[in-house]
Amino acid sequence: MLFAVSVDGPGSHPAAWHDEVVPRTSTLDPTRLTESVRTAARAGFAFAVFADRLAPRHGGDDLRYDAVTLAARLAPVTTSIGIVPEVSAPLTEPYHVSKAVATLDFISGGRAGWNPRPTVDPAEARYAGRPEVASVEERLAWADEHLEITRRLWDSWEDDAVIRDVDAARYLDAGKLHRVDFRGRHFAVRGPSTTPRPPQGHPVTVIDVVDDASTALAVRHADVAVVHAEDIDELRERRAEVAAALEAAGRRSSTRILGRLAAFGDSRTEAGERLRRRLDEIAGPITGALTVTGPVADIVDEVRTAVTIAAVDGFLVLPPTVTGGLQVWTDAVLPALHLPVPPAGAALRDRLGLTRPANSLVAAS
Amino acid sequence: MTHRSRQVHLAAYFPGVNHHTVWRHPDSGSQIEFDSFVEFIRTAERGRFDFFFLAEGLGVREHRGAIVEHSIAGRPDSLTVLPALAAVTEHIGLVATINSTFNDPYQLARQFGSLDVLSGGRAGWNVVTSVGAGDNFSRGRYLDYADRYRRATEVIDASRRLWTSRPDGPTGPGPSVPIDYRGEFVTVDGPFSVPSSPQGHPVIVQAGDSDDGREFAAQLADVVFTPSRDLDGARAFFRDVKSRLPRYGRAGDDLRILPGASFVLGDTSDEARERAAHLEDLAVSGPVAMYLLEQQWGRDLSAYDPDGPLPDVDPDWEVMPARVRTQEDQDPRAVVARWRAIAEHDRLSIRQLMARVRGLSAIVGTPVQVADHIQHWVETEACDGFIITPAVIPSGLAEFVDRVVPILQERGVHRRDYTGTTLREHLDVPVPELRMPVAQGA
Repeated sequence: MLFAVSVDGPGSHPAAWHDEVVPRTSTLDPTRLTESVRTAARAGFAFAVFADRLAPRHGGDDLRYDAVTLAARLAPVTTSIGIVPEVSAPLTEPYHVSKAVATLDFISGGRAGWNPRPTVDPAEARYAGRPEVASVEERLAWADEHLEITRRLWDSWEDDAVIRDVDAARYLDAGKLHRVDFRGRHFAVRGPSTTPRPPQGHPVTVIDVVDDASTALAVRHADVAVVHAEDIDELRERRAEVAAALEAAGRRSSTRILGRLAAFGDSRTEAGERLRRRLDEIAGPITGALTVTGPVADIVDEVRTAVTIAAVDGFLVLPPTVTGGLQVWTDAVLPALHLPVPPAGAALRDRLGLTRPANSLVAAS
Repeated sequence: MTHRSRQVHLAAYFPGVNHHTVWRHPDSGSQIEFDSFVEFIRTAERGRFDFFFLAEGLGVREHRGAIVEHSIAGRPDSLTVLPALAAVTEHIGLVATINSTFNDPYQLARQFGSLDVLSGGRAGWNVVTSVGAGDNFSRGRYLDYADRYRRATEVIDASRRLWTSRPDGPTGPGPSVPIDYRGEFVTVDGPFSVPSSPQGHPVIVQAGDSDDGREFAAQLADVVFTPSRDLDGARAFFRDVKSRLPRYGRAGDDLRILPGASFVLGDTSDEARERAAHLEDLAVSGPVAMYLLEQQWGRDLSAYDPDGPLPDVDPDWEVMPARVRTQEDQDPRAVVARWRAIAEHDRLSIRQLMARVRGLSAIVGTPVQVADHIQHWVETEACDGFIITPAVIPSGLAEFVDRVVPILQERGVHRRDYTGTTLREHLDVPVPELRMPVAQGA
C-alpha cells in the first residue's frame, strides 16, 4: 500500500484557510513546514504533493508560496520522502519547468516529482494578466505538448554526456546531447536543456484524473495517476477505466493508481464526525475525495477496505488541517498499517516500484 | 572629513558556462551536484560575503552550428537551487540572473517573492533582457531590443507593486492593496498571495552596460554588476552611474557597483604569476583558443594550428561584428590590429595570445597585494566591491576566504561577522520607495 500526503498551506479542507481554524502565520514558517514534512516522512508517506495556486481561493486572503520554491526549500532538509510540487503549467515555459524539476531531483538526491496542473481557473488567469485558453480540450492539448517537451528535455542529455576528458580538452561529448526540435501547435522548442539528465532520468510525473480529457493525459504521461472520486464505487469504476486505458496503451505496469482520501479522526468516537461537520459548515466539504470519519481503528479499517474494493495502489491523503488532520495519520493510522520502512537514500521511482526510464532520444540499439 | 573606511562588498559567483573555469584542474568539482553548490556557498558565507550569484543559461553554448565541447556546461535551474541553498545557509544573500523576456511577470514575482520570504529576506534578482535564445521559448520571441528594455522596466514595476502589496498588520500579513497594473507590455490585476518580506522586497541587480541600462540601474537597481575594466574606466563608469541617482531621489550609497573579478594567489608575486600562467594554460586549451579566435574572425579557422602564429587571412568583417562582445572595444578592426601587434611583438602563438587577451583577467598577487588592489579600487571610488569567481570550482574560493578576507577584516574594511540578517542590510542599501521619478533625464 502506497500513501502520499498533500501539503496545501493550512490544510486540504477549504475551512482550514479560515484563521479561526488554523492560524495563518503558523503555516508560513519554513521551520514548521520542515517539521511537518519530516514527520510525514517518518510515518511512511512515500511522497508529499505541494499544492500550488496563483491566486487566493478562499475568501480572497490566502497566503502561500510558489510550490516549486517551497519544495526546493524543503528538499535538502528532508530524507526519504518524495518531493512533488504542483506546477501551474499555463504560467510557465516547458523549458523552465524541465530545468526546475530536474534541479529538484538533483538537490533531493533523486526524490523529485511534479504534479502538472494543466489549467488555471479564470480568476487566476485574470490575476496573472494572462488570457484564458478556450476549451477544456484545448487546454489539455496544450498541456499534452507541455508535458511531452518537458520529458524530452530531460532526455536531451544522455546520462554520461559530461566526459571531462582532460587530455583531449573535451568537457562534453556533444554527440550525447540531443536537440528536442519540437514543433507543435502551441510550442516550438529546440533544446537541448541547460540542465543535465536528472538522477531518476525522469522525475515522477503525478497527474490528477478528473474527467476523460485528464484520463487521456494521464495515460500518456503519468507515473502516478491520482483518481478523483467521492465514494468507493465511483473510485472503483474510475480506477478500472484508467487501468484499462493504461493497459491498452501498454503502460499499466509503469503507472501507479491512487485514490484521494480525507480522514476526520481522533481517538474519541464522535470527535471526527463533529470536526467534519464544523469545517463543512464554514466552507463546504472537501471535493473529489473519499471521506472517512471516526476513531482511529475505524479509519484504519475503512482505508484497508477502500484499497481492497477499489483496487487502488493506495491513496493521496488530504489532511483537513495541517495540525490535527495530519497528526491522525502520522501518530496512528500509518503506524497501524505497518508500512515497510524504505531504504535510506532510495529514489522516489524505486520507492514506487518504477524502473528508471531509458532515454527516449537515444535510438535503441 | 573623517569617517569609517569605505566598506568592501563581496559576492561570490558560481559560473555555469565560460572558458575561465579551469575544469581540467585536478581539484575541479561537479558543476551540477548539489554538494558543489553547498561547499561553495558555505565558503562564501564563512567569508561573510554579501551574496552568492548565479548567471543564467537559456541554452547550451553553440559555435558554428555545433555544441561547444571544451568548456563547462550543464547547470541547475537558478530559481530552484537557490531556495535549496537557503535551507543550508543562514545569512548570505541569494541572487539569480533571470531575464524579463522569456518569463511570465506574475510567476516571476511569485518565485522571487517566495524565495525572499523563505530565506528570511535574502533574495536578489539580476534582471537581464536577453536577446536571442528565443528558440526554446514561446514568450518573448518577437520582442525587438528596444522593447525588451521597456518591458523589463514594466516587469520590475509590476513586481514591486506585488511584493509590497501586503504590508504587515499588527497580527501578521495585512490585506492586499489593489494592484491593477496596466502597462504597455505587462498587465497584472493581483492580488498577490505571497507574504511580505523582511527586507521589503528582493534586491534588484542590473548588469547591462548601455546608456539605457545605466538609466534603468539608476532608477530601479540596488546593485550593478559590471564587466571588469581598467581603473580609469571603472572610475568613469562609477561616477557616471552614481551621478544619475539624484534624478530619482536617490543617494550615492543607495546603489552598489560591483565588477566581476577572478584572483590568483601566491606566497610571492612571482609564484602568483606562475600559478596564473599555469591556470591560463589549462583554461585556454587549443580548442578554446580556436573558438575564441573564430568568434573574433567570424570564419572557419580549423586549418590553423593553435600553437602556430595568427592566421594571415583577415576576419570576415561582415559576419564578425555581431559576435564581438559589446562591452569591449567597439571597433572590431582596432581589436584585431591590437592583437596582431601584441602577437608580433611578443612572438605569441594563437593559444598564448588568447590566454593573454581572453584569459582569466584575474587580480594576481600575494594575499596582501590582492587585498591592496580591492581596497584601493573601493577607496578611490572605482567600485563598491567585487563579485569574485575562483578559477577552480568549487574549492578555489576557500583560498580567498582564508587568505585575503582576514586581511580586509584586519584593516576594518570588511565585516568580521554579519551585522544584519537580510541582503539589503549586508549591502547597506535602503528599501526603495515606490514612487515616480522626480525628474526625467534629458
